[in-house]
Amino acid sequence: MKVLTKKELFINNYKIINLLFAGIFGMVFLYSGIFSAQKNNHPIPSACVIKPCASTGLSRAFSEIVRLNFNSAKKYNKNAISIFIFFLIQFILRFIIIKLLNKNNVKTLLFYDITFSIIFYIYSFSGLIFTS
Amino acid sequence: MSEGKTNAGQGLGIAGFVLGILALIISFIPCLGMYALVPGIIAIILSAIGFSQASKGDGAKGLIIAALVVSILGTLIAGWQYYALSHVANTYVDALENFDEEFKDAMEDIEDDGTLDASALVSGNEEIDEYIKDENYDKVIDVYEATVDKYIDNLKNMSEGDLENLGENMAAVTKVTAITIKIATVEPYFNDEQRERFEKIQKKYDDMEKE
Repeated sequence: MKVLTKKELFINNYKIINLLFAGIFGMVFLYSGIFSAQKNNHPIPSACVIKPCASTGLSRAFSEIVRLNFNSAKKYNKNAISIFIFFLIQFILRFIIIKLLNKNNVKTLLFYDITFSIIFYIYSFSGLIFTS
Repeated sequence: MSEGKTNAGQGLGIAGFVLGILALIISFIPCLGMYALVPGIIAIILSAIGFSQASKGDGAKGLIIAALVVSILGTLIAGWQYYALSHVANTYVDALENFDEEFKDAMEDIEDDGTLDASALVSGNEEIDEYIKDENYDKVIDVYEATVDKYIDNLKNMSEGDLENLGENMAAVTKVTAITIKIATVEPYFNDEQRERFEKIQKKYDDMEKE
């Protein structure tokens, strides 16, 4: 088994994690692009079966956002745009981190990545989390 | 960070960490949160296997421990969401199970209060004539207002998740409808004050229905 320094191992792992998250966020955009709000053909059923809740209409709103229909997206879910921006910025950020990552800045990058992502998550999802 | 370590268990640790973070992100979202149980539990299993492999093969454990912490946290929050949602669902089921009985009781109460008989109003039997003969329209409007107020209160409670009065509320709708039918037959005999009062109550009822 190949032996690496802890730092090398950590950088490798960090890059893979970033790539995986970029892939997951990319799949969210792909899902939104393939399925349409007009056709109402999203395969994942609504989680709110009893009555509409804060996350109702999120998939349809995302589908509208990737088609640049922002007003329509707001009608489906008022929190959708801020959540979509979270995914978009995180998607871009993953590639930036992979590009910038080296032995000298790994701790700094990790610290700023965690801090920024947590604060940005709370800000973007607050409408969804704290309203129902 | 200069000590050498193998990459034993790292693949599983990474998978556990990514799934754990996803579980944590989803777990906070109302309704959707309970679905985080699936990635959360898978993440715990992967991280645990990764931890075991890292221990045996001298692999780095930092990431795997982080994966375990994140996935356990995500799973716990998702579990709480599942409990909260199933509690709401059970309330609905209980309310529907008791609906028939509550509705029957409430209808009996309507009939027992002696002022109006909902079934009599629809069939148009002698009791209606009695009420009209009494010309006690103020009392009829009193009952109408009390019923509308109770109905509005129940609707507000229901919108906040309280479904205990579902049957009673359905009976209240029937009662409001029945009283409205009765009032339609006697409305021409109302004085201005009574008519104004009746219209105000109707507006209150209509506004609530729209809301």
